[in-house]
This record gives sequence, C-alpha cells and structure tokens, in this order.
Amino acid sequence: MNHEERNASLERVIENYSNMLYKICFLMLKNEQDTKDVLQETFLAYMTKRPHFHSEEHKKAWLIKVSQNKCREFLRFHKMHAGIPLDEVEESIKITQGLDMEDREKLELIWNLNTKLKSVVILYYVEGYSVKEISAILNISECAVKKRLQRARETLSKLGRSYDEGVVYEQ
Amino acid sequence: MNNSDFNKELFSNIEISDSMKKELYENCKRGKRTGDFRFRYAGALTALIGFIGFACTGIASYAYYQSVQMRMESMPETEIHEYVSDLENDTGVTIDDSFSRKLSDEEMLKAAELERKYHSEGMYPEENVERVATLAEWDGKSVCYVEEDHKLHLPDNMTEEDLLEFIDYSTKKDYVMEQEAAEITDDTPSPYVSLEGVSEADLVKAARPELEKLFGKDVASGWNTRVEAFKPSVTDPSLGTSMDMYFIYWEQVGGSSNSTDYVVVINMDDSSIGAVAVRGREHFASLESFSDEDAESRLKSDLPKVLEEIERLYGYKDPVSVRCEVYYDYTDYGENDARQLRYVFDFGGKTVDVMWDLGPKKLASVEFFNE
Repeated sequence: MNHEERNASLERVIENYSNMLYKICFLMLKNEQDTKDVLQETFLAYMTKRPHFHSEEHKKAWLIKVSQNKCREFLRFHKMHAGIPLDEVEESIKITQGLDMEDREKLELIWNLNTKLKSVVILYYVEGYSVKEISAILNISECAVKKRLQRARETLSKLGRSYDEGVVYEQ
Repeated sequence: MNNSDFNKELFSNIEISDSMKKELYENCKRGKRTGDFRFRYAGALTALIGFIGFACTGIASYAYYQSVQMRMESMPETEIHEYVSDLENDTGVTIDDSFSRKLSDEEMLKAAELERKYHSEGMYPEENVERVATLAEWDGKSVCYVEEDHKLHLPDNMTEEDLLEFIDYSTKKDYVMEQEAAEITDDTPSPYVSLEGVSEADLVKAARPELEKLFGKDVASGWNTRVEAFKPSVTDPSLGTSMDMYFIYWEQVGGSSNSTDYVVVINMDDSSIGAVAVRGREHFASLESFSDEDAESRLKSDLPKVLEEIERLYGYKDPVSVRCEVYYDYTDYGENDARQLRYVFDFGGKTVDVMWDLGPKKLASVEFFNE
C-alpha cells in the first residue's frame, strides 16, 4: 500500500466510523476535547498498526475496542479531570436539542451511569451488539457483560424512579 | 428496560463536526500524537521510571522504589478488600469524581512535590485515610473515605499529612486496580521497539541542545533520562519511515504521570527534530489562569511575540497561514481557567504546531511536520 492508498484508507475509515466512535466516546468521557484526543489516538493506532481485518464488522469492533481501551486509559490516568453534568455540556453543545422530555430524561440517565455499565449499555442497546460480541470487544466474560447489563437496568430503573420524584442522583 | 427504550435517535445530536474529522485526518496522516501524550502513561511505565531512577541515581532510589512496592504488596487483606470495594462502588466518570473536590493549583504543586518524595525518599503518611460510614460522622478536618457516598472527602485546608494520605490512598487504589483489572488488548504488534544501532547516550546528547534552546541552559539538570523508539514502519512497512521517531524524556526522580517532564522527539529517518515540549499537570498547575475572554483576545495580541520566538529559535518566518485556538487541556471552555494558546503555522512545506503559555508568555512546545 503506497502513501496515497494509505491516506485514502485513513480518510475512508474516519468518514465511516468517526461519528459512531465519537458518540460512544463522548458519552463515556463527557467532553469534546477528550473525545477528540481519544479518536486521534485510535485512528493513529489504526494507521500505525495496520491490523488485518476479516470484514468491515471486524474492523468496526477493533476500532471500538481500541477506543474503549483509550477511554479507559484516559479515565484511569487523567486523574484531575472532573466529570461534567449534562446541563453544563448543553451550554456549548446542544445534545438534547429536539428531544422530547422523555428522551431527554433517558439520555440523562445514561449520561450519569458509571463508565463500566455505560460502555455495555451503549454497545448493547445502541450499537446492537450481542452479549458475546461485547464480551469479545471489552475482553470481559459473557457473565460479566450480563451482570453489568443487569446492574445497569437496576441502576437506570432506580434513577428513573428518583427522577420521576423530582430528584436526580448523580451516579 | 428494553431495546425500544434506547434508540439511536437519543444520540442524534452527538455528532462529530466536519472540522474535527478534517483535523483528525490531517493529524493522523502526519502521525501527530495528542497534545500532552497522556496516553503513554501506564502502570508499567511508572515501574519503569522507578527502575530508571535506580539506574541513574543509584542504590538509594532503588531501595525506595522497592519500599513502595513492598508497601503495596504488604497491604493486609482487609485493606485490599476495602480498596476493591471502593473501586466497585466508584460510580464517578473519572477518578476525580471519587473525591469531594478538585485539588487547588497550590495543593497540586505541593502534592506533586510530595509524590516524588513518596516514591523516591520513602516519605509516607503517619496514618491511613480514615473511613466512616456516613458523612455526618466526618469532622471535616482530615482526609476521610465516606462509605455512604463512596467518596474521598478532602478538608478545606490540606496539611502535608493530608496530602500524603491522599497520595497513599491514590497509589494503593491504583495498585489494587492494576491487580484487578483485566486488560483490554488489541492483539496487534506494538510500534514501540528496542533501540538498534544507536545508543541512548548519543540520543540524549543530540537532544539536549534542543531542550536547552527552548527552555534555557541546565533545564532538567540532574533529572532521569529515558528513551523510546517509536517505529510504526515495523508493523506496516508501507508507512515508510516518516513516522519513525525517538522520544527522549527528562523525568524527575520519583515522578509520576502528574509531574512536569520534558521531551524531545528526533525523527529517525533524517535525525531532524520533531518536537520539543514541557508537559504535565504539575507544569499546568504552575501557570497563571485567565478568563476565556482574555485568552481569546490574547490569540491576536500574542501572535507577533510567538512568531518572533519561532523565527529567533528556528528561523521560520512569514507563514502562509495561521490557525489558532485557546487550548483547553485540563480544563474546559466556560470554566474561565484558560492557560495556553495553540498556534499552527504553515510555513510552506513545513508546519509548526506550538503551545504558548499565557502567563509567562513562553513556548511550552513546538512540533514540526513536513507536508
């Protein structure tokens, strides 16, 4: 692969997958600058490692896996960076614009989930991956995926009740 | 909760902008790393720094490195279980969310200093962090883990003992997390390789003048040096050698990922300089803070000074184009806590990407790219 082909491949992968990765990582990191950094590191890994993919699905799963790994490294080592409430993010990025109240509440519930549970929720409910596929992407057991989904359901349901009562608890 | 509860429409407003896509493409095409290379930090590297400390400063430092390791390894089972429990109950998005408040700049600088003593001189707290069941039980005078809200609560005024307890708690929690965490791996070869055909001493000797040119004579004097060979062409020869680089670091004895360090990047193919930078949260905490509005206005007013410095140091002048932004690294827009500006100059065939510290009006980093 020459330089032109390599750059074209990079452009294609950014075009095809950056939006999907942006959504997942933004929900994890709650911050645009951090999300950009994670995406840059992810695509740089794609450029430099050039793994062999069996299919587009394989490529997509690899990109999610690497980006999740980067998010995890980020959250693990970037200790002094505070999480941002949805309301504050809204001041610069209108992420709930056009959503009805019910959907806004759902988004807020996901926003406030802890990262372990959130990554599983996003991959399962939003990206449509199976428990087995998530297990492979996150390198955790299928049992762990199921447990996290269960905990997420319980947490969201608990949060939902609290929200209905007019109190939102930061998780 | 079922699939119909959460659909992609919920996230329809979370979209990457075309300008960010373009920037990602341009940056990745050039092999540019993220601003502060934050992703290089890993537990293994912290250990490596310890060993390098031993290599450079002798038996005493190694003894203290071993001392920290022993402190971690000799934690009683009950204490380990407490940290495991803290990690399981840690519902914050970032580790910072696990604390009742952020450290102030002054506390951050003091903590960085004490962290080095913790790792290199065996300076430990006299007590472990206090643990209580409910917030009502906390007297507000010392660092305390409250089981009720799963947070480490920090007093308004942190003494040296408080900061050491904070450091000890964080170090032990990180250690337990390392032991517990199942690493997510991507199963592909690493572009980081061992040095071949060039000595570490020669690379340090070549990089030192570039460090001093930007930051002054004797900068980081006596600090540990570490060299990495980043060679992505090994994993993909079609990349050519344009992204193959040596990273030469100057790190403080006992330093952690928060500490100030310096780096010089040398391109492998032609031995030209790829980057020179000062980094780290400790450095950031030492910088004066400005409002967003002031920082925005400085983008224009500081430009002549930035250009003057680039011409004086590197000979580049009369750029074809300039892109600039207030660079929010450890803070965010709207916090009115801006400390750095970023300028990207196109000098016709050579792009120079710089970070500018607003307070001292000095360059914090320069990166060079051939187009």
